[in-house]
Amino acid sequence: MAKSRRTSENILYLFLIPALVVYLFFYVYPMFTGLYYSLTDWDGMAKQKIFIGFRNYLDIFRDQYTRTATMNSLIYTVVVTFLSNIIGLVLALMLERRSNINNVFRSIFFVPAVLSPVVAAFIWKYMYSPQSGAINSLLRVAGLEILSRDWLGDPHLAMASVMLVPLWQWGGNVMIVFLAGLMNIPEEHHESAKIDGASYMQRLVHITLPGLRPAIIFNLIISTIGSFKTFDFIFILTYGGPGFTTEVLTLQIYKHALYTAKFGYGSAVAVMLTLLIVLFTIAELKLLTRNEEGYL
Amino acid sequence: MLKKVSILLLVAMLVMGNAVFAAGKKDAGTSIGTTTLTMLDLNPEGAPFVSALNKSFMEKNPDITIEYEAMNSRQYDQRIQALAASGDLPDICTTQMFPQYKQMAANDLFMDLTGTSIMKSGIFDDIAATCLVKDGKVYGVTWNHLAVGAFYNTDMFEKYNLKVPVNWDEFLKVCETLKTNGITPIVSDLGDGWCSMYILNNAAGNLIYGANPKYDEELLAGKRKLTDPVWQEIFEKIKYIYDQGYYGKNPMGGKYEQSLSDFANGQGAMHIIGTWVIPVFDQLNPSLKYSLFPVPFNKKGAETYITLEGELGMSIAANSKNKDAALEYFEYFFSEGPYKEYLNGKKGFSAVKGINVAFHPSVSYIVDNYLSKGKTTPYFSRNWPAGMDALLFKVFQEVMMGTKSIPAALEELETYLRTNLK
Amino acid sequence: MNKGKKPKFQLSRILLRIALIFIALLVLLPMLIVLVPTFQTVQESGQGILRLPRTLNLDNYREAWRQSKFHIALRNSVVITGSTIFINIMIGSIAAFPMAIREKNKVFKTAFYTFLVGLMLPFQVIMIPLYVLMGRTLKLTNTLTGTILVYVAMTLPITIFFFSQFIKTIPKEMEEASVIDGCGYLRMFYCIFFPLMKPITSAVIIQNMIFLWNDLLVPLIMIDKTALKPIMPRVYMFFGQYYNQWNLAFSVLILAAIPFLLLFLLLQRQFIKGLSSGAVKG
Repeated sequence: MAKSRRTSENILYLFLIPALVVYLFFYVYPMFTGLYYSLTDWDGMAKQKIFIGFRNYLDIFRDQYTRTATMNSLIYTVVVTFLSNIIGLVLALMLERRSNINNVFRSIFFVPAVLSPVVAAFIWKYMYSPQSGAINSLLRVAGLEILSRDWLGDPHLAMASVMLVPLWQWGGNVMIVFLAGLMNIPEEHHESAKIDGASYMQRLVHITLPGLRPAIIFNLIISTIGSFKTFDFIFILTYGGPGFTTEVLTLQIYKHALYTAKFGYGSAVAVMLTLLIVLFTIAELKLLTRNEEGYL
Repeated sequence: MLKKVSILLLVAMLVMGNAVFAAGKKDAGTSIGTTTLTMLDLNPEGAPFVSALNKSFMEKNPDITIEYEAMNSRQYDQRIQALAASGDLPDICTTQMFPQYKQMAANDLFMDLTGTSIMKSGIFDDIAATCLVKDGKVYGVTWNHLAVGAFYNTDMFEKYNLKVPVNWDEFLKVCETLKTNGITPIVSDLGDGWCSMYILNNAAGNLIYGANPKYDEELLAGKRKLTDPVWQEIFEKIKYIYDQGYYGKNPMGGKYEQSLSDFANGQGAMHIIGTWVIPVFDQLNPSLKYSLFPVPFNKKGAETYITLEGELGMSIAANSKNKDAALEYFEYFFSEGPYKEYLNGKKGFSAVKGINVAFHPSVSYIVDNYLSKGKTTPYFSRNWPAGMDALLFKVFQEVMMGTKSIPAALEELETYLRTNLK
Repeated sequence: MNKGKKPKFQLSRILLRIALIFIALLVLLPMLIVLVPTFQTVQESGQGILRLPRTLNLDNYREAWRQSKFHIALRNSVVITGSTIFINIMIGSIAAFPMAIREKNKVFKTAFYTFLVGLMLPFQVIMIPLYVLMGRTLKLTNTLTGTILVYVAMTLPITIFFFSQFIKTIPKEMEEASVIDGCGYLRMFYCIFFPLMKPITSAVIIQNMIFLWNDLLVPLIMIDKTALKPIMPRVYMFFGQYYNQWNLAFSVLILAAIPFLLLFLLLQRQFIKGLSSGAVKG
């Protein structure tokens, strides 16, 4: 009896194997290869790679371009994460009541999320185009030409213009998660609070927001990771320009791999970016799950 | 829900899957005796003409199939670099004189063409034969040459009684006249960084390389510096026209593609770019009348030069299994009939000695005044280290926008040049 | 809202509606505006949206479909997305099972965190190494099989994360009861747990479908042959080639968005339920 129990327990390890094999082979192995490249001076094509230890990592701290890109990535991530959550939350609260019309609104707000980032980026490239672009054309027709701008070319506006695109595309997605979170808050809590004479704002702060905590954690983490990893939008919209105003880390890595023949260095920047993402994720988890036992 | 989606997926896969896998198989196992040449090109503007040539080649050689794909330069750079990393380039790939291709050549990724019959026959002119040379070996040849300068709308120039400028002051006067008449003088965009390369080429040609063809060697040897006053002058002059608004209201957010149609549709008077855009202009607006001159950065009385350089060329992968077929393709490409047809479509300058076609009307001015007199200069950055161009475009944008001073920008470029020269 | 006071309720409700309509317009506007060039001629499309097309014919779409060989791209996308999701669900769900019911086991815990790291890894880190592995060692570039394998590996982290989070919410008693019944773990998983996992399975399918259908980078480096390219790289290349024909380029863009938009409209309730049920625990 005891023996058969053990063998059947062992079968659990077998369950893991197919997934683990595929994952290790096609994901973890390349990851370690990338890690190894980051310790070499490989230019991306030579047959030999010279091991140079941590020199690439030391170079990161001396490289002003990587510093700029890191700052831009941080700004992009913080702003997009913060704003997309605020927008998602507000939309969710506006559409909290279940009704047919609200369902239509939910679907409308969600539609951009099913588009490819490629499609979204091309759409917005067309919107922002300075001369014949949709935004400036519409402003002209409305007699507001004074407001028309070089949306992607003005160094003060470029980053903001780029950041609007993920907000447009993912705001609805964030909203959906918050809506699900709202449904999980028991109606009785609200009812009893109302009987006690609590206002809408009081209920929001004391009942709704605490109840939304799992949804908030999820949204924050997903947006943070997604924003750090963002590539397609910026690649198509500005390619990091004008100057270095929208140059983010993923773009830097890409350019080191494909233009400057510094593949080893690019890999080191990529590893640093991974560490940054892990660090942010852990910090957010620690901050938000202090009294909750093992969410992860 | 789960059922619905899985059934949908399964049905779709069953219906379509068979077809795809079958198609894939047919693709992989071509019938015996035929050779498939893969060809990757970064030249969407010229793709129709290369495709036409490929088609006639395949008709002549039914045993060879060419799989041709053209993409824009950004897409191409990514593909070719990934392919180079895996050591597995397509049989024929487009190459240029730029450093990344020289580096690929140095890593033995391309076939050494030096001893082949097409090179021995000596049909290529100097620019074509030296576009991709490393340690005395030839790794690629140019399809055709291009000239770089300002295309201008002849009707507009006539309307305001403007002559082709031959020095900097005249050029400024032209711009000012156009601007006061409510016309955008230059529609070239600076947002796609690489487009700023072309005004810099004219500037460097007129102020540096024309007078001193050896400048590049001296620069790379450290005898000259990018912080020299002449570079300061170049940047200052371009910044001046930028600040005067001659580039229009929003040059930084523009896009190469858009700028072409802006020029073709008469939304501006000049476009500083290379001759590969001629077929595009003609397609976008067949009634457009335009011509080309080099932007003159020189003082009154000094010589003006135009930038003439090998455009794109092709190389054969070192580990290609179809080198013979590829060489056969090269021979065919540069043989008289097909090559003339290609040049006629592409509107490029011939790279083959003795084969010439009638020039497009827009280039007759520069042919008469510059090419025939040998007043040409090459790309200024052709020997600079890899990645230098990318940085230059960025720094150039920063200078134009005023977020970086010219001396700081030049200092930065000089530092990059020296640290990456080895 | 304030159900008690009728007039104020009405006013706030109207204001809310107006605000919602306004936001909805903002969200929809960009998608509607790109419809304009798809009905223009080449010349008109170079001059922006103010040159409104005179007729609403579908010539551009027909032309774009033909020139981009869209049917081939569509087929490839369906095969890649479908196969990946199928394999992914099969191996992902069963791998998540031990990780969820034996949380404290060191091996499973390590495996779980290994998968989690994958969530945070930027694709650029593995881009070239993966390409070298697939191209040089396995000769799997330019095959759908290779692309599908890479995708399975890439989607496993999120799949396993979702499944294990969900299985953890299934009461322990289920497992104990089935052990008493003499169930092996395999039977326990397929007969008892898997049927309970239906909602999360649809969530995972939808999450992955959105990613797979819309992804650009993997096929861009994995596939050269036009005959094997799925939709997004096809669109991206098309934009590079037809850079001066906005009317055709945007027609392909719309074509690329339509299949998934249709699927969304057909299954929108499931989409929304699916996406949210995975996200919020309990």
